[in-house]
Order: sequence, then C-alpha cells, then structure tokens
Amino acid sequence: MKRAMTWLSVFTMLGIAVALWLTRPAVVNPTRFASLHGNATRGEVVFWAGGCASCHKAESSDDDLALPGGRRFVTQFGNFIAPNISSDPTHGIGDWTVAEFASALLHGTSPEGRHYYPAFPYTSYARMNDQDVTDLWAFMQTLPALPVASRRHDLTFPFNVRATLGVWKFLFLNSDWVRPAETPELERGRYLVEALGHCAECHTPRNLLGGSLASAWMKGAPHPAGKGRIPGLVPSALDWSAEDIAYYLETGFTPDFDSAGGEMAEVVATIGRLSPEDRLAIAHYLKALE
Amino acid sequence: MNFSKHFALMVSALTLAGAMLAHAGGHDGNPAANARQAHMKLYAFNLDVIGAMAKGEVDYNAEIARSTANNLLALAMMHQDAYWAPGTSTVELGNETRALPSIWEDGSRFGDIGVQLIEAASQLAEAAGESQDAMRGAIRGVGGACSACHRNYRQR
Ligand code: HEC
Ligand code: HEC
Ligand code: HEC
Repeated sequence: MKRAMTWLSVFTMLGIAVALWLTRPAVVNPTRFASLHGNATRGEVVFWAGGCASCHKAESSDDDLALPGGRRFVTQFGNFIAPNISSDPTHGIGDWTVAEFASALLHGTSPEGRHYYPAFPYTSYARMNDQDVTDLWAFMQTLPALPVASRRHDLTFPFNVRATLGVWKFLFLNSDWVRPAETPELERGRYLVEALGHCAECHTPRNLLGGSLASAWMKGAPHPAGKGRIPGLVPSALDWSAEDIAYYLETGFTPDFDSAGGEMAEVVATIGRLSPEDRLAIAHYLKALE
Repeated sequence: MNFSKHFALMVSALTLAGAMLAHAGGHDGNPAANARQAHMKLYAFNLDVIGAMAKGEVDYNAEIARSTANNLLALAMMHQDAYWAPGTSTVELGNETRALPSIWEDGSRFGDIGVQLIEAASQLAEAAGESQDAMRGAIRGVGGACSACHRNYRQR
C-alpha cells in the first residue's frame, strides 16, 4: 500500500513535470528580428492603436507618453498592477532587446522566461506582424526613462503561481484570425480590432477560466468590475452607421451626442489619434460581423 | 456691444433657462439631479448641430457653427455648484442619478475637468467659424473633456 502511494506520487510529479515542460514559456527566435529595421514614426501609430498608454501611464495622468505603470486592475483573480515600461534600463524595459520585447508581446513571455498574465492583452497582440513589433520598439525607446519601481501584483492562490499560466496559454492563446476579411480595408480593420486594438478583450464574454468565447465574438460581456455590461458591437447589437462608429472612435460622441464613459473613454483617447481611414476600416470590420 | 457684455448676457439667459428646467423637472425626482441632466442634454443638443456639420450630414455654415459653439462655451461656463449639491449621488438618490459619490470626495478632479471643458470649448468656439476642418479638429478636445468626466464620475 505504502509502495503504491509512493509510485502514485512519483507518477503525479512526473505528470506535472511533463505538463510544465510542454507548456513552458515560448520565445521568438532572435534571428527573426535581426534583419528588420524599426521606424519610430510608424511605431507611434502602432502605439496609439495598441492603447499601451491606457494601462501603463500613471493613475489619473494625462500624459500618454510617460509610462511608469502603477495602475491597478481589479479582477476576479486578484489585483494586477501595470509595470513600468518606460525606457529606464533598471525599472523599465530600456535594456531589453527587440527579441525580448517581441517575446513579451507575441508569446506573453518575460526576458527571464516566465509567463505573463493575460491581464497584459498579449492574447490579442500575438497577432501583430514582426515589422510592427520592431517599429513599436523603436518608438518606445524614444519615450522618457522614469525611475519608478514596478510593484507586485496582489493575487490569490493558485493564480499567483505563474507556471499555471502555461496551461491557460495552451488552452486560450492563439494567433489565428477570428473572422475572415475579404478586402484590403477589412483586413486592415481586422488587424486593428483583433490584434492592436484588443477590442475583444472587453467586448467579448469569457468562460469561467477567463478565456475569450470565440462563439460570442464581440457580442458584449458583463463588466469585469461587477456592475453593468460592456455593449456588443455586432450589427444586431449596434445599429450605428459606419460613419457614426468612426466619429465615436474619433471624438467619443455617440449618435445622440452623449459622450463615451467607462474604459472606452481611454480607448477613444488613443484610437482617436489614428487616421480617418483607419477608424473607418475598424467601423467596416464591425459592420461586417455577424 | 462688446464681447464680454454679450457673453455675460448669454450666460445669465442660460442660467435662467437652467433654473427653469430645474423647476420644471422638480415635480418628480430630485431637482438638482434633474437640472444637471438637463444641462448635459443641452451640451448634447448643441454638439449634435456641430457634429452633423463635422460629419458632413448637413452643409457647413460658419455662422451657425460659431454661434452653436458659443452656446456650448456659455453652458460650460455656467456656475453649477447648486446642481452638484452634496447628498445627491447614487448613494442617496439610487436610480435617479448616475452621479458617483467620488465627485464629492477629497482629491476629486471633478472641478478641474470642468475647467478642462471650458478650455476645450473656447478652442472650439474659435475654430468653429474658421473652417470645417478646424472645427472638426477642435471637437475631439471637447469630447475628451466630456469623456474624462464620465469615465471617472458617472456610473456606467
Ligand atoms: C489592458 C491593460 C494593458 C494594455 C492595454 C497593455 N498592457 Fe502591458 N502589461 C499589462 C499588465 C497588467 C502587465 C503585467 C503582466 C504580468 O506581470 O504578468 C503588463 C506587462 C507588460 C510588459 C512586461 C513588463 C515587464 O517588466 O516585464 C511589457 C513589455 C508591456 N506590458 C508592454 C506593453 C505594450 C507595448 C503595450 C501596447 C502595445 C501594452 N503593454 C499594453 C497591462 C497592459
Ligand atoms: C478596456 C475595455 C475596452 C476596450 C479595450 C474597448 N472597449 Fe469599446 N467600450 C467599452 C465600454 C466599457 C463601453 C461602454 C462605454 C460607455 O458606457 O459609455 C464601450 C463602448 C464602445 C462602443 C459604443 C457602443 C454603444 O452601444 O454605446 C463602441 C462602438 C466601441 N466600444 C468600440 C470599440 C472598439 C472598436 C474597440 C477596439 C479598438 C474597443 N471598443 C475597445 C470598453 C472597451
Ligand atoms: C465635470 C463632469 C462632467 C462633464 C465635463 C460632462 N459631464 Fe455629462 N455627465 C456628468 C455626470 C456626473 C452625469 C450624470 C448626471 C446625473 O445622472 O445626475 C452626466 C450625464 C450626462 C448625460 C446623460 C443626461 C441624462 O439625461 O441623464 C449626457 C447626455 C451627458 N452627460 C453629456 C455630456 C456632454 C456632451 C459633455 C461635454 C460637452 C458632458 N456631458 C460633460 C458629468 C460630466
């Protein structure tokens, strides 16, 4: 009996070891980025489309180019605190390589080889193309270095064990496109919505483990902070014209001239800086959803 | 008539309109909440006129654009302390209001955002009569001020 128990625990441990190995943090191959040249001007567009400032600027700051972190995100798994991603080499990401930056965005893996939590929406950024990652990196290096230490998240067990995230990623991290795109404009709209704009992170409901439900893509979701709902953006839920949607993304004004509130106010603050063509491409992507 | 006099007149006329709306709404619900909601609706009404021109739904008309933007500025500049009387948040009034208690808490930036709206509305008032493009560019600033306040102080 005793021996059986010993064997059982040995097998269990082996099983865990194999699972951990299979779900170990993935990184990009550095040679993939070696020949690419970053363009900071183009990177700025990626930066606004990606909405990095919404999460990484200081709490209630109006400066979208200062990224010391510190904002707190309350979720059912505990509180996440956005880290410093300024160009400071000690406290920020100033001393990273472009490949390390790419591994963070595309695979959710840190330079130390640890899994990031999906509170950092790499589940969407995983669809970014390599040139955009490289351009964004060039732009981020032009931002001010802020010597502010990142703070630890305040999470409950077992969510505070990063290794468990490997299983989560295995189940839910997927860089395939969700919807087909028939024209170049729809393709651009899809890229802005599904990759950079990470719209689905809020507008799509999640399952019990926090994975997005592709079957209810952009159909609206309960608000993660409890009260209220995040509206659906599929045509059956939102009957605005494409021009109305584009104007809302530019100014925050609805067709009734109320103005956006909630987290969407921050999305408009960044996405509103894109070109009119890009905002219209987003609107047309939304109108083509079912 | 010089500009500031013209302005003072407009502001007092609007104050009166606000007071009347408050009174009219007073029959049901909290008068302060009714008044500020009516004030917000006046913002929206004026932005509708400007927005229709910005979107190209109706032809741009410099005169209408300028006077509408002046309305908006006048509204933004009204003294609103009585609307935002303490004790009229969602905690006390429940579903009658979406005004969050944080408006009245220490460190509230509610007043600062009000000033931000005045600044953005002045820029719009200057740009609106210039050209459709100038006007369109300045609307985003106004929208930013409205949204900044709704983000933090209006219940979802
Ligand atoms: C919805 C909020 C949110 C958005 C939007 C966001 N991030 Fe983050 N980011 C986070 C959180 C939370 C973490 C911490 C993750 C963890 O510790 O596992 C993080 C971590 C990071 C890290 C790792 C930092 C470190 O010290 O290891 C980098 C790099 C990063 N983000 C870059 C970006 C970039 C670039 C963008 C825009 C393209 C962006 N983030 C957008 C929330 C966000
Ligand atoms: C951080 C969460 C979040 C993200 C990311 C996000 N949204 Fe939203 N969105 C919201 C919330 C919350 C609202 C409701 C706003 C309100 O209450 O005024 C909203 C409202 C909207 C509306 C208005 C719908 C209506 O019925 O009023 C549109 C259109 C919209 N979002 C489009 C987008 C697009 C396009 C993106 C990606 C570029 C996006 N959103 C990303 C949270 C988000
Ligand atoms: C300083 C803060 C602040 C600013 C600036 C602000 N709002 Fe509001 N707004 C609120 C609050 C708070 C409420 C909820 C009021 C209530 O329910 O008692 C509200 C409510 C509204 C409503 C709903 C009114 C109703 O019928 O219940 C509309 C529409 C609106 N705002 C439009 C605007 C527009 C447009 C602007 C910009 C021109 C704007 N607001 C600027 C704080 C603000």
